[in-house]
Formats: sequence, C-alpha cells, structure tokens
Amino acid sequence: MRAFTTKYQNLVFSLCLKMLRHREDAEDVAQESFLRVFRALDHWDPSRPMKPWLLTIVANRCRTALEKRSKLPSQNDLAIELESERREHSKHEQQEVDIAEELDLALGELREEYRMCFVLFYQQELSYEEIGEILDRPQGTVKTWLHRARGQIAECLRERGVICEASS
Amino acid sequence: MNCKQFQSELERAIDDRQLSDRSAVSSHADSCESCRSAWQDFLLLESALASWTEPVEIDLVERVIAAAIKPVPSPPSGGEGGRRPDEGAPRTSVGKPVSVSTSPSPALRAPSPPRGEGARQTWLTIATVAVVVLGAAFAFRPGLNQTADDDSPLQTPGHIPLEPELNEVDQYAGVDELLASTRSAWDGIASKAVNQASDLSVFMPDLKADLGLPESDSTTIPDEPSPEVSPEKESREKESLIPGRINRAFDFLLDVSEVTTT
Repeated sequence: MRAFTTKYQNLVFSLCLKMLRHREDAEDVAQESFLRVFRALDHWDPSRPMKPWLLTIVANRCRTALEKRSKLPSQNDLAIELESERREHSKHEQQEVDIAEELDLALGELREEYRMCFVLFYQQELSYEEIGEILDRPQGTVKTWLHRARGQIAECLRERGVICEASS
Repeated sequence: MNCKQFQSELERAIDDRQLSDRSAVSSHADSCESCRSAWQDFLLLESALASWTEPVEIDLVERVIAAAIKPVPSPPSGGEGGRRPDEGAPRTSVGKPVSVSTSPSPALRAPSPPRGEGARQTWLTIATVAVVVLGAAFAFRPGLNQTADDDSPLQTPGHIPLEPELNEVDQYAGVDELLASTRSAWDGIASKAVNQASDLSVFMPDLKADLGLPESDSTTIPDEPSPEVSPEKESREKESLIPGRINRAFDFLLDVSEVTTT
C-alpha cells in the first residue's frame, strides 16, 4: 500500500489538481481515489497497464467532485469571485503573471470533458487510445475534444493578451 | 510547403507532441497570412505547456494509509443503512466497530450441565489436582531420593545436609528440630496421599501408574467379573463405590489441610 501510493501519488495528485484547480480539494480527491483503488484492486487485470486503469478511477473521482462542487452555490460564488479578482490582477500586472497560471485559468473555463482530455493528453502523456478507454469514448471523439480544447485555450489566452507576449 | 501541408504537419506535431520540420513550417507561417494565426497559437500553447506540465510533488503516503486503516463509522441506527451510489465499493471490515452485548443471544449460550453432574465434576477435578500436587511434592521431596552423602549433580556446593553430623548438632539444634518435624509431617502426608490416591485411581487409571502404585490393590476392581455377577450388577457396584471413595478423598484433603496449617 505504501509503495503503491509512493509510486503513483504525484501522478494522481497532478491530475486532481489540474482538474479541480484547488489544492485541498485535489488532496482529498487523490486520497479518496487511492482508497477506491485499494478496494478495487482485485478487479484490475494484471495483463493490462496499471496507469490507465488508475487514471480512470481518478477521473471518475474528479468528475464526482466537480459535480458536488457545482451543487454548492456558496463555494461556486466564491470561486467566481476569486476568478474575477484574479482577472483584474492579470490585467494590471500582466507581465508578472506566469503563462502556466494563465493556462490553468483558461483550462478552468473549458468543458469538463475537454479539460480532462487536455490534461490526460499533455500532462499524463497518454495516447488517444488510452484516453478513449478512460473516458469511454472513441479515439475520434477524443481527438476532436483535444482539438477544441486547444482552440478554446488559445482563444482565451489571446483574449487576455498573452499571445502577443509569447509570440513576440 | 503549401497550406495543406502546413496543416497536416501541425496536426502531426500535435499528435506526436513534437514538430519534426520546424523551419519549413515556420517559414510558411511567415509567408502565409491565414496560417500565421494557427502557428502563433501553436507556439503559445507549446511554451505554456513547457512549464505547465512540470511534475507536482506531493506526499500523501501517510495520509492515505491513515485513511485506509481508519475505522469506518457504523451507519446510524434506524436509518436506511444503504450507501450512496458515489460511495463506491462496500466498506471493508477493517477496524469496523463491533457492538458487544453483555448478554449473548440465547442461541449463542453454551448449554450448562446439570447441577448435580457439574458439582460432581468440580469436586473430582479439585481432588485430582490436589492428589497430583501432593504426589509431585512427595516425588520430588528433598532427602527422599538423595542423601546428605550423595554426590549426584543435584547436590549444590552450598547444600545443607538434612542429617548433619552429631558433632554439629549444637550449632544447628533449632534447625535440626525443625527439619525433623517437617520430615515427619511430609512422611505422614505422603503415606496418606499414596493410600488415597489408590482410591482416586478409580477415576483416573493413569494416575495410578504415574504414582507407581502396585497393581494388586484391595480397591482395584477385578478385570474379569465372576461368573455369577452380571455386567449390570457390576456397574452398579462400581457406582456404589464411588461416593464412598469421594468421601474418603475429602477426609484426606481435610487432614492434609489440618497438617499443613499446624
């Protein structure tokens, strides 16, 4: 149990953090994901790779956490408020804002399945086939979602003026 | 490179996460107004992803293990007791509190023996243990198998002889009297223990052999019944002997207790 957690904790936590964009929530969901994995280990087929199976559970946990969050109006309002403050901050001090943070913000505005697809592809470096298995969608759909995610993120960054800084 | 080749090269770069012919694509984007925007988006995402995909370090090991072994609270009594669909797999029984009742259910109670039979077994056990203890004390009594002149390894250098020399009596006069009285008490206990053990050997045949008692004893029941005595009658006679022997054993125990207290 200890060795398994040590090996996969960064992987699991990274996905949770990118999906939830909240450190404490990501820690909670990562812990919950590990507990779920321990309970379901007897369902894992050893002939198949562990990582996609593990990330499937983590993705489902993230989805559930996002659904729960969406049902909490107070927390949602707080997130929107923080988001607007951050946007104001980015307008005045654009030069100091890290481009990775901008990408995180843009990612937060994506649809949940686009965001999951983007994170699994670029952060977890999974193939279209593996993402399709995790999300239970065909490869073509995954490719389309990734293309749309890239387009919307680029548009978002462009609206923030980040594109001029990067391409100059 | 034309615009179609530019698009296919860009898509392949996205799929493979690397751009093979960067100079050709870049030169086409510089010369083509319609493709420049796509190229700038590609460069922007490429630079953002370079820092965005940095691994995040976290240490969740202790937290996860603590949560895994944490006792799961039992559902409130009277409730549905079911799980929500998102709660996932059934809870394990690790550390799950178990309600302990002070009075077991009637089905779990062990059947109690009849009162008379239980008392008989209890007294038999007590008598047997007492005899075994006394027999062991008799068997390992100092001086019984080992004399003062014995040079066996059991005799330690500082061993005080049970029968000292006559010229040392003055020095150990009080000790000698005490040893003499103790020895006589032991002899009395041992002789009674041997006599009564032969009676109790009816209940424990192996005890008789353990104590080294002779096979021919007045209380021994003959192996083969006489021709005129039926097996039923013999068993009745055996049962009739038991209470008397138990009483004799109890008398013996009372004697022993009196001797030891005095």
